Amino acid sequence: QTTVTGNVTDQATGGPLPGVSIVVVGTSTGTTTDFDGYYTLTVDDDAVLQFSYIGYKTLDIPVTGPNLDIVMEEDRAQLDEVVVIGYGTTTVKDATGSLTAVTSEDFNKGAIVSTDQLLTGKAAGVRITSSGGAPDAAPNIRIRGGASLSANNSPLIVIDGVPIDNTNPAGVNNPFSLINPNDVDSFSILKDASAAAIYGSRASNGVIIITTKKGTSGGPKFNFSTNTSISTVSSKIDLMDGPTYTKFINEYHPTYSGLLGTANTDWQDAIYRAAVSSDHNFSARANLFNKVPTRFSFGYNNTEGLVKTNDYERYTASVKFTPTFFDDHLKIDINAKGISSEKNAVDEGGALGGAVNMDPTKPIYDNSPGNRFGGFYQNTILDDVDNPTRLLLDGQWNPLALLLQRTRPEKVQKILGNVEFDYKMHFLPELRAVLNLGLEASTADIEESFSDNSLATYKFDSSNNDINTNYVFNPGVNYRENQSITNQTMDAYLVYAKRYEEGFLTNFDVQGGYSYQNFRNDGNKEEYRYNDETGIRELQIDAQNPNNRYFNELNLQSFFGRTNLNLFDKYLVTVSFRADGSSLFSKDNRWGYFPAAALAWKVNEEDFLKDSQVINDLKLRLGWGKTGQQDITGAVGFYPSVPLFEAGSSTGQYLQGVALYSAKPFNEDLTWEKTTTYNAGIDFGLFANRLINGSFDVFYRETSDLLAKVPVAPGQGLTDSFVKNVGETESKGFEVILNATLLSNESTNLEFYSNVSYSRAEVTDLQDVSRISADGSGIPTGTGVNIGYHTVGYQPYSAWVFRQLYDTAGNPIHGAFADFNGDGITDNDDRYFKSLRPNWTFGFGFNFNYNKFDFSTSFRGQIGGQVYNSRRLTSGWIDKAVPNNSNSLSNVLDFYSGAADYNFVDIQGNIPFSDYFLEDATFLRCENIVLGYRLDDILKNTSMRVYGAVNNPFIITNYSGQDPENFNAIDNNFYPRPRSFTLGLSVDF
Amino acid sequence: DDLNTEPLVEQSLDDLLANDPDAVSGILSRLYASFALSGPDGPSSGDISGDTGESPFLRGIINLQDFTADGMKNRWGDDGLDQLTTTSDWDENNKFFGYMYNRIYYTIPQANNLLSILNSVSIDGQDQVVGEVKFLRGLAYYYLIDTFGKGVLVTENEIGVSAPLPEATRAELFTFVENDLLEAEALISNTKSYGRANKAAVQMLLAKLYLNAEVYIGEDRYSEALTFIKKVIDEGGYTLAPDFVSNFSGDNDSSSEIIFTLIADSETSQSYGNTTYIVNGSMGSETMPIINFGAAEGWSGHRATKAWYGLYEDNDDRGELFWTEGHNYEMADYKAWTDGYPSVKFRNSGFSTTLPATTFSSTDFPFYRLADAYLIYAECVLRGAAGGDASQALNYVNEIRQRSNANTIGLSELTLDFILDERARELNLEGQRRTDLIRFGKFTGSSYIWPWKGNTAQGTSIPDYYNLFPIPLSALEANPNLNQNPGF
Amino acid sequence: AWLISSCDNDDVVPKFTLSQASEDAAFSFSAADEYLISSGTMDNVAERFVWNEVDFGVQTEINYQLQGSIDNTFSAYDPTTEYDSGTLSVTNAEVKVSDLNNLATLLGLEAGDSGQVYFRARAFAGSGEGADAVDSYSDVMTLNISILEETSNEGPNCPSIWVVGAGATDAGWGWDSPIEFLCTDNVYKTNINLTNDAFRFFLTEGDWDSGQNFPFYVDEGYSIDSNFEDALDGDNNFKFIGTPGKYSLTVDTINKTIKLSPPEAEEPNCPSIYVVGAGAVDAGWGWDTPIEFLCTDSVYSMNINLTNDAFRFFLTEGDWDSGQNYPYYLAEGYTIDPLLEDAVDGDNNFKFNGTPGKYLLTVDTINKTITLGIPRAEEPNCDSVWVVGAGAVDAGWGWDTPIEFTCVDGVYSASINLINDAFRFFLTKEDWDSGQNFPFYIGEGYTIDSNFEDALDGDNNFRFIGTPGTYYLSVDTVNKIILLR
Ligand SMILES: [Ca+2]
Ligand SMILES: [Ca+2]
Repeated sequence: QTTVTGNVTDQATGGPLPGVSIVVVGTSTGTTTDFDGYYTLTVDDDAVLQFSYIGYKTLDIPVTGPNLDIVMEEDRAQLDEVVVIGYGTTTVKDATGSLTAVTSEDFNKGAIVSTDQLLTGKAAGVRITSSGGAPDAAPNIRIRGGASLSANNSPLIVIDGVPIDNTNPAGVNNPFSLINPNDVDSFSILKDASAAAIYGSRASNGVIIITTKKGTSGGPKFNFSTNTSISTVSSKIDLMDGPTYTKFINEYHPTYSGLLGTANTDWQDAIYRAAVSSDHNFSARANLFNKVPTRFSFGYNNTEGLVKTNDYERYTASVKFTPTFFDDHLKIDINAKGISSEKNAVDEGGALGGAVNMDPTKPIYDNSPGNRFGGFYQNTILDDVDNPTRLLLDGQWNPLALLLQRTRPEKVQKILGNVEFDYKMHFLPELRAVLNLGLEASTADIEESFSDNSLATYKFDSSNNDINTNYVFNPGVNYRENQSITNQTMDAYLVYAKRYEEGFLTNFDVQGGYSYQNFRNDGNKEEYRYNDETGIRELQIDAQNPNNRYFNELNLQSFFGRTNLNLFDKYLVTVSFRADGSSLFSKDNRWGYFPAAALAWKVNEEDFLKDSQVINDLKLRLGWGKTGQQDITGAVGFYPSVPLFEAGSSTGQYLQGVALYSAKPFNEDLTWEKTTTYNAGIDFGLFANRLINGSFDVFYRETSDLLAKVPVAPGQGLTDSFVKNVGETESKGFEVILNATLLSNESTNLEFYSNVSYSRAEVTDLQDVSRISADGSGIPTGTGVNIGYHTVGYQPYSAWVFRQLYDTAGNPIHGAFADFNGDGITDNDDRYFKSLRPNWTFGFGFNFNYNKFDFSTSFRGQIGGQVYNSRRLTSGWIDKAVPNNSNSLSNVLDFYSGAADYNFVDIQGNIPFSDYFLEDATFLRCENIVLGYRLDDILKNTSMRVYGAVNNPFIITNYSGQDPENFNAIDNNFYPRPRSFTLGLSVDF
Repeated sequence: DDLNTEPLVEQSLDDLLANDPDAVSGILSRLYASFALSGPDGPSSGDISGDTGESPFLRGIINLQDFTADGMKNRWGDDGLDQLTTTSDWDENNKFFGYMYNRIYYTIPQANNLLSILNSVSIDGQDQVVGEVKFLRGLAYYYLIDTFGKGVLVTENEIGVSAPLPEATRAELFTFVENDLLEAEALISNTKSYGRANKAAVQMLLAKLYLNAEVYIGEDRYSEALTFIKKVIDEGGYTLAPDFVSNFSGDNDSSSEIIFTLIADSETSQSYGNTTYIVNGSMGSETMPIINFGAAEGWSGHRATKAWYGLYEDNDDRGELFWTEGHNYEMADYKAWTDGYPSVKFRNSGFSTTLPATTFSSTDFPFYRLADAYLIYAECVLRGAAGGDASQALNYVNEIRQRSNANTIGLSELTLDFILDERARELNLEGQRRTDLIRFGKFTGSSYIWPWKGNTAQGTSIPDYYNLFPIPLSALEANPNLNQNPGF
Repeated sequence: AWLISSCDNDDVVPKFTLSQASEDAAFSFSAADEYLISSGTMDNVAERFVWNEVDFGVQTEINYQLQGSIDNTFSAYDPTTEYDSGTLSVTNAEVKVSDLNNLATLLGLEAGDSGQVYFRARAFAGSGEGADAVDSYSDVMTLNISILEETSNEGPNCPSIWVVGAGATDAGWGWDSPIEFLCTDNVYKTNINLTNDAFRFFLTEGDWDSGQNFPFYVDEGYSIDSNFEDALDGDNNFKFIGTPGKYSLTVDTINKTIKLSPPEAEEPNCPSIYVVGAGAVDAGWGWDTPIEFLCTDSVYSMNINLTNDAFRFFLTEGDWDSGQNYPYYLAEGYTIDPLLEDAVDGDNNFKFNGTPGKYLLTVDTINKTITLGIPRAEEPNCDSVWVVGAGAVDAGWGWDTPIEFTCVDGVYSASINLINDAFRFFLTKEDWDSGQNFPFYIGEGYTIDSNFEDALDGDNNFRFIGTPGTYYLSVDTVNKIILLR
């Protein structure tokens, strides 16, 4: 026998864990840790000790010596885990709605710039698609596919209790880049109406609640983490190189051979780079004055985009105080986050498109003495061959020059803060009053300027006809924008919660309150123009609006209430109600009412399961609720329901001596879009410690009074297309989450997790019309040509296409399509619908620990869905190469390698609507592979983890273009997603 | 109540009327601007969906009236425009039909809106403004009648009606426009005001409506056409500009001949769809000294065909307004810039003043001018209109010809065929040609062919239903009461 | 159930693959032996090509094209210069005479020549463009074409010849003013003043060696007008033995004839003279409104209102000194109409002594006569005719709204809205018996516009077969032409 002593600490905080139960396995012998986490126990030499503590993972540890210090890890899967829901919290055990929690251990790892990247692929029914590989690329997040057509389909984001603005600050594409991912503690995703309805107005598309890390009640703890990564382009477009292109021109366009050069330039290589990025974070947790748990963090991120000059830099700081007063009667939660970021925005279309179009036989640089453009090669043309007076730019502009000759820093400073007072009444402890005051404020500054000799500023002095001296460049500022956003939030509510020791009602709570939000976005722009006579850039003053000011304000106010009933500790009932008013609608149509109800049955609490060894947990959930949508500001601005006039700008005047005013379109009948969701779910845990656990949810959703931008009946509105409450959609689907601990012993742990979701929506009614063309589905044959339609009887956002015909060798026949109705004519009656968005998405991964090594990998993907390969359309036809309005050639896809089909001589008429351009977007992407090693106690109380990660190492797909993962399903000028290699270090002390 | 958010940049009608005494003129200005500009915020703003550059009214008129006809072709190969140029494969998906249709139905409700405002306010010269608005609405409807042949009839009385309106026939639209314009003629003054319509402009539109009545409604209304064109000539106070090309130069705002103009200004009224489209589109550095025509950029798009420049005698000055150097007389390939001659009739350079080369054109578009009125007079006489005089007709035609040093003709040469050719010589690229060819029965069929008619180099027959354009898909989708034109 | 219904209808479309045509395009008619090309028939349909539908094994839009070439292999077929029907959705196409003529020109054929041109039909799916275009061609059909020789007045298209000699009074022997014979389609024709003397043809102006005399033409097999004979002078010139005066002389090198015929009308080709004086009521004494006498071939002829008073001829407008009075003409040997006499005023003006009114006054400077005649018609001087029938949509069969054709100088014309149906001309309104049908005009020797045909209904009405629309229709009873414009 031996006496074992030791200390048990919390892995996350390093603080001592008092009251941990320690049992010798196979016996009833045991003890618990003291207030400082220490224990002493006398056991056999070969004993195995089981350490357990509520909320922490149970550990079975064999005795190896007299000292056994134990670090315990919080078990996020534990049913008692607190989950944040709207205006309160619950536990997984008692949750009635469909909600998914994703906590830090599940987060994606590696080269992570923005918070959304933590979550990608991790939550069932949540599809996150970045718009590309730029450091600030906008994420498109859809929970269960989204419900709206033209209104905002993004979920509501709530950060530490503050619902944030849907409008990004100027220059910011990704709102999640304004939160340091290292500060995030957990995500709660509310998917069904019963969970989300308490957020009523803005919850139609689900809610993502982000909670940041808290301070500690133990001793001070510090963390420093740092990583550096290098990123490369994972896939380029299959274009012709110089020699191949020369062959192509000589073969297909011999009359243009004279325009060929002799260089061999890969213009994609010219604009891309191996990008180096680094991320450094420091955080401290302490219990200030032994009273105020506090967390402080500072972060610095420097990310290089794959496209040259696309640099991103961010400083973040956050502080959180969670003091309590009056014997814990008053809890105060104070959060403040400050962010300062600067991004050099690049002209993605100009650079990415230019690299595709630019003739590969032309050099990047031109060092001839006559070069005007700072040493960059540029094709030019004389204005008059016989008697030239001007040397004009011609054809594609050198894409590298476009990048290097312009700077456009977009700077944002933002603070996001809130103070929440939670007061438990002294006279009636069951009654709490909560007041939450939040502020989201930002300023954005954009300044675009050009260097000397920039192509974009090359102009002429018309008083001078000497071709050698009559040009001017205009270095300096070309555009400025300043903006300030001020959003105020105030929630106030009362909660009465009572627990009964007897009777059928175990506990019950009821709450009611009021919420106020005001979003204000105020900015101005400085615009310039070039003087036709002098060629000099000058400020353009708009007499009616001298600062080019814009001002948008949105106000939302709500009353809400909720009650939870717990019967026999088996049956849970939640009922909520919310009334919302939005300033976007006129007075009569302003208010929407959103009730919800949910039932849950904790089956495992029933007698017949209570002792089951197999079924550990089993809960059935049923939910119903209504949610609303009003955010159409992206489509029609902030004042869509009232008649207004806008003044013409300085270049948009007409009759002399009067200022021009234009009546703006409006729709005074606009009102709330309403979504009703039915959800049934089951949560289960099988075998001991829930070795296998998961959930299954089925939902059905109907949206009515859809806010959609529809064509206006000709003449019956002030323009041809406007938002209207029109029609209905319904959608249905399911989600499965399955997690399994495949291997678990003292040195080795292997966990598998996975999620699969299916959703399918259908447009069921569009009032007067049978289909409307879908925003975002524009194909690059001209502005406003959409391939996507919302059509009654079909999935929203389906491509309306012709069936391409092929010859016996499998080559597409130019312009030949199936004549479905057999009338001998190819027209719209022969087009069919093909859904663009995938119905199936999935994610899975493994976490493997062996002693001090950890290895994890995660995957995600989609089954089905289509991508319109518009690169094939715009660069995959023979005559694309020949100059139009110029004397310079354009590069094309490599016809010889099969990247495009040489039958396509042009792309006119019905050809862009051929399903030939649609390709299956099924893919499986390896999101990351991470390998880490932990060094404990390198110094006293100091532990360190080193790791290496590869992000986006590979993708498996049949798609012939660059990347099948494309939110709008139109693959055009795509900023490639990087493949990144990261080395990182994290030190806790 | 914070839920009543107030805009700070945009203004309500009440604020506008309180803040600017010229507010109504400012709203009227936007209505005129709809014919030349894409939107109120400069060339990149758009009143209607789609490409802002392609959507202005005038660009639509040039595309639909000139490129579909014999004299002008575009070479870009743009989907939609190509089908216009080759008068082939017209269908409801063609966005250029949509632009025209949507622009018409942008202008009409904007006009209705202003009429209803005028019902509720009182300003100086109210009648005049009402007359102008009715003229502009009538002009928009005129193009609906001419191009699509039918639509919905929506007036200030239908504001706020959201249930789709019934389809109105060509005859119903004709009658409405006729009555509205007769009303406008009574209200509007004879004063000439730059860029605005006066009595003569209304009379000109009435004359055109009646002149084409045979096509539009199957009725001979030439006598009424003559009545109104006589008023234009006799009472309008316009005289032929001494030099033809001065009407199409950067300083044409001073022309004595132009009855109704679409203002363009390289600084304050910028658009890719006003004369900028005509001038820049006709310019190409590959073969032309574009600076000489005051253009800072050339888009190498439009060229004339021999069906136009083949009509001139040697000494006719108008026949000199083509750039021939480096270009071929025959248009073997309409997509080859050097096949066919670019027209340099329109230019940014000044006629009597020196102007810098500009990106946007300052040349106003002579929407209606006296020479057109003269030719309408002669045509009405030849078509047997009552009240005309043959020798007067001959005088008018010879005046036009003498101005350009063309040989005068005798009465025996003054035939309808001659008029059609003379209209080409005088008015091509002024948005008239397709209507003229249809009125003379020469647009469809094989009685008259021109290069690339029907998408063959020498030209071939096209079906009669091409006398109207197809109703755009977006309109059919938005109002189920609308039916496609036969043949499409 | 909803899981099953969620199966998408998106992918029910099978893969469509086009195969080669099961049956190629083939013409289903026979070509005529010969296609004649003449300038007057250019707008006529020469042939309607008809072929069968082609099936590529998949339900898709099939289009066709008729190609015409001067090369029977079509290896260098050029749609921009040769015949191209454009894209057709139907299986037939009309080829006009002008289309054949265009090919004939490419072949280099001239009047009287014959040659062969080739046609084939192409069927294709899709646009027909691209390297792997799926298409099918018919066999090549050969058309024999011949260009008719004709005396067209379209202008010279062959070298001129010249006449010199005393018999050609305006020329005489010498190269100062030879008479040029312009040539059109190898036919030489001009108006010439002949007197009973000798002349000769010359191929080259100014070259006496290029002369061609009477025996030359006889040897060439020409039939020569009987008003000519061999002058039997040293040069064997032509000699005119008919009545001296102006004639139209034609040398037709195709049909090998030399013929005289009445002179053709010509435009004014000599300076005007003017009449001023109280006797010419519309003029009076003064130069405000003189009566201009236009001159054609030295003959002045005008309608003039005369009263019993004096007037005088003037050579130059506004010049009193250029007057030519009664004695002047007598001295020149003129025969003067007896209704005119010497006014015996100071100026010895002419004086009219007949019944005041409108007369045709002719001064013939060749035959030296001054005559008064019946005035030339100027006003509508013939009665209207009417058109009734379904083909004239505004009229229809019935007398409610007949189309009136007004008449000037024997030419009836009106604007008429025609559709492809029948109609008839009527001399008298509301008199069905006054109709004149298609065969009537044919019988009268009329040339009828190719847009009309005999309706072959019971009445043999006219039937319009052109593009419906409004036309200007004229019936020229003088030149016997029914023309549509
Ligand atoms: Ca069909
Ligand atoms: Ca101007």
